[in-house]
Amino acid sequence: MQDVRIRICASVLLCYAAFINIYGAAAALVWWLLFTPRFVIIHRVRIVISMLIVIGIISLILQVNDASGFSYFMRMLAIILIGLWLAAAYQPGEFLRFFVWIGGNHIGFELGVMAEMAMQSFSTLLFDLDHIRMSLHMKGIPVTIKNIIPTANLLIHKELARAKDNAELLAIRGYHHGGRLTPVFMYDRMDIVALLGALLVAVIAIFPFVNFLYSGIEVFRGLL
Amino acid sequence: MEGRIVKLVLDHMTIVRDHFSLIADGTFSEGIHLVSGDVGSGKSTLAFAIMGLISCESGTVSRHNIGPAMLSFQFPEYHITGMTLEEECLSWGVPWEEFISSSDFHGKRDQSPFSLSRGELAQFYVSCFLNRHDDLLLLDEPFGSLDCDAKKKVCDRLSYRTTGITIIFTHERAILPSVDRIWEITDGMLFDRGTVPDAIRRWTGAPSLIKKLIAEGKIPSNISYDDILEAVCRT
Repeated sequence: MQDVRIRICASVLLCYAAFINIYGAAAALVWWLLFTPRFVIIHRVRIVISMLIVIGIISLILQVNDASGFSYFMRMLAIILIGLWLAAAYQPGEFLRFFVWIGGNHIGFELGVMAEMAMQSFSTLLFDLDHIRMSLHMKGIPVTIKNIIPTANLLIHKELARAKDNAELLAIRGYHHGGRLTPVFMYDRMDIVALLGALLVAVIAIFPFVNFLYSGIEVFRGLL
Repeated sequence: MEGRIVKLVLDHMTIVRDHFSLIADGTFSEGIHLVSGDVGSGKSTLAFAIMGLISCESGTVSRHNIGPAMLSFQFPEYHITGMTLEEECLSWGVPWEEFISSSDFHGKRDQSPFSLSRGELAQFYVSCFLNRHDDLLLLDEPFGSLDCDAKKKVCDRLSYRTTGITIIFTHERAILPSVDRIWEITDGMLFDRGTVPDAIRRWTGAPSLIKKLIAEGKIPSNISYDDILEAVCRT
């Protein structure tokens, strides 16, 4: 999917649909299977597995308490997979173009710069985590809560230092408020089909006609 | 360690990344090795692959009689796992008392590692590494962020490491330690230039001063600052 506007719009619709009920989550998962490269985009399998384990534990607790664990797991799974796809499909500069398109050259540009910086921080954070993991491995230190504290300290220090460097860089280059950008977007027919598919998913979630159909079948059976 | 012959063998080790590939063949025996190469030539990648931290496309890395091994990162802050310098020392298995007897960090026992500059941190870690007596020590750009005096100190400390295999990956050209063997990465290949001093003649990426000395027939006995100075002053 080339157009970031369609990608973000589809993601918002799908996450909303997955969040409100299990029908939406199931439909969002079908959409994910049809319109994304699926598991090919997942490079950091360990992180995904860790997230799924945490969600699995919470789901189990919910299932035991009020039988809502399965629904919770499905909804969170759909949201995570859509989020991973959105992050993996990101190309540098896209969020700046998107926000300028939405909010113009002042507020939009500011929001776009912030979004781009956040994405940049995210990728450097992953690089930092890789190196910290290697260092712990070489020292033979197990990953425990006690050992993680200095690691978190390191990440915060590095992130603050980078934020300071970025702020200084923007100031030196004369950045004050907003900027000028004429965003250009490319899209193809499949982008439109995927967007329509996401709209359909949202409709399924908002109007759970599966329920309606099921009731209809029950009524029909009663008549017979 | 005594009586054991330590050896690191790279057998057609091939590392492939997005727009980059590196092929390495060679045997690293006991002593100090210099792996030189331009920025982006693949020195860090090779160090990570030897340490087993990244995977190779093909080929093998064999360690013979090599026990503990360690890689010093180019950016020293990634090593921090302790809240104080003493904790940090202990995380490397080095007691503070042993560490302080051979370093310049007196009175900084309870100081946070984050309070040190990157240069100080680099010196701190080199001291830690050299106190560990690993069989295999890989130093990735150990002279980065250091001023000339600090570089000389590191070179001096390295000269005391007489056992095990030490591999220095660097593009430093001015202040280097005395080494036993020179290797070079060019065009995605690791080349063994042989033992010093003969290797100095074959070192294509040698610093310009060394090349000038060779052209004048004044071949230095090694590549350390003192050796170069001796060759410059030779009549």
